[in-house]
Amino acid sequence: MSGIVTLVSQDQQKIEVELNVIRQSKVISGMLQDLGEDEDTEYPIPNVSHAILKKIIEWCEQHKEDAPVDDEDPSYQEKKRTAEVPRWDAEFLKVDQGTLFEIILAANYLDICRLLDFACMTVADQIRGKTPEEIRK
Amino acid sequence: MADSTKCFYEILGVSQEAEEDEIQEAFEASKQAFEASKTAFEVLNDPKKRGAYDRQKENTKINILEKLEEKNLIHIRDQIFGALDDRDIHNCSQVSKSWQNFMKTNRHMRKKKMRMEMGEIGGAGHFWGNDKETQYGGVRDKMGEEEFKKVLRLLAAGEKKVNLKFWFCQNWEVAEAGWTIQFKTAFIDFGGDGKFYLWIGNKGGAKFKATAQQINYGNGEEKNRLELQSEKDGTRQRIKYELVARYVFVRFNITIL
Repeated sequence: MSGIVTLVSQDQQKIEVELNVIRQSKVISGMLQDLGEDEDTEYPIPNVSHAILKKIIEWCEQHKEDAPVDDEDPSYQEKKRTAEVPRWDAEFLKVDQGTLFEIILAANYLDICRLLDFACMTVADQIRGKTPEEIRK
Repeated sequence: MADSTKCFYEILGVSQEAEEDEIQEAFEASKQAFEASKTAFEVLNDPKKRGAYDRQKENTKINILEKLEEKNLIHIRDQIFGALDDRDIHNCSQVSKSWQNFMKTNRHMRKKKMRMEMGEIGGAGHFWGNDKETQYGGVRDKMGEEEFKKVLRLLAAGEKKVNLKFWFCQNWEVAEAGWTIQFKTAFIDFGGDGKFYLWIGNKGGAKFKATAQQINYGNGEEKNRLELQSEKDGTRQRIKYELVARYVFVRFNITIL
């Protein structure tokens, strides 16, 4: 087994990604379990465009060493309420509103809870009317 | 440096060793920045254009929330609201009254749920309730880290009244959800100095008052009841309670002010 899987985006483009990177998506991780981790299999991601899928993979790449989080854990839920978006993620999410929305949809669909959390926190910061720089001051 | 007080290298943001193409690049960048500020000035200097721009800016802010509603992704919308304070939502003119009310309800429900878990006043038993015969398994005979954390989460949810109960010889320091509790025993053999100390607080360092008393671990008898007010201790607020007998619980009925 090569540890690489091929994903096919909404617009029928193929993207190769390392298994341990994309495992952060609970949906893809589950799909791999159901269909078997076969390097010849292509895994369709029909709800996510090529451009957004690339962004998602970039995020997963950055976070592949992170300890997994339990989204159901109430203490994590509370921590999340008071936490700030880490610097790298704040930069990563400095995109136009359309892209940010697409990222939220994709993170929700693929079930990548921390990316969804950071994206939601970014929107919340925007509602507060603060830029990431202002928040960090 | 003819009639400028600022160094040319500083103006372009390049080092004195900069190559020609670096200087060219820096000039292009500052030219672009100037063009951008010219456009910004043209818009902001014209009340009509400025109003339109402000509206558009507000619209892009609200867009995501509306779109989430359209797509029926209410749980994500609520997650975004969950990260905001009531004040933020109130200040955001684009958030409608119904959403503001929804958020209030949401917060209220969360607090209610936690209260159901912990009793109407979170933490240890009430004044005349649950503390009797603790050694025989009274309802809430002991508070450990998990219980303290629950209380802190309740405080973070906006609760003002909580009860805490400590065993006479223990020292505690617990942090959760932006709040902390620290308790220091009075007994010298456990590192104390003759007084019990209790710190509670969040970033804001809110003042609090407490009714403190000792509780006999056997028969639940209450003694040495005192009304105490917190004092400033560095960035935190702290109350002191005089030394009481050994083998007792020290209980604080706390009100955040």
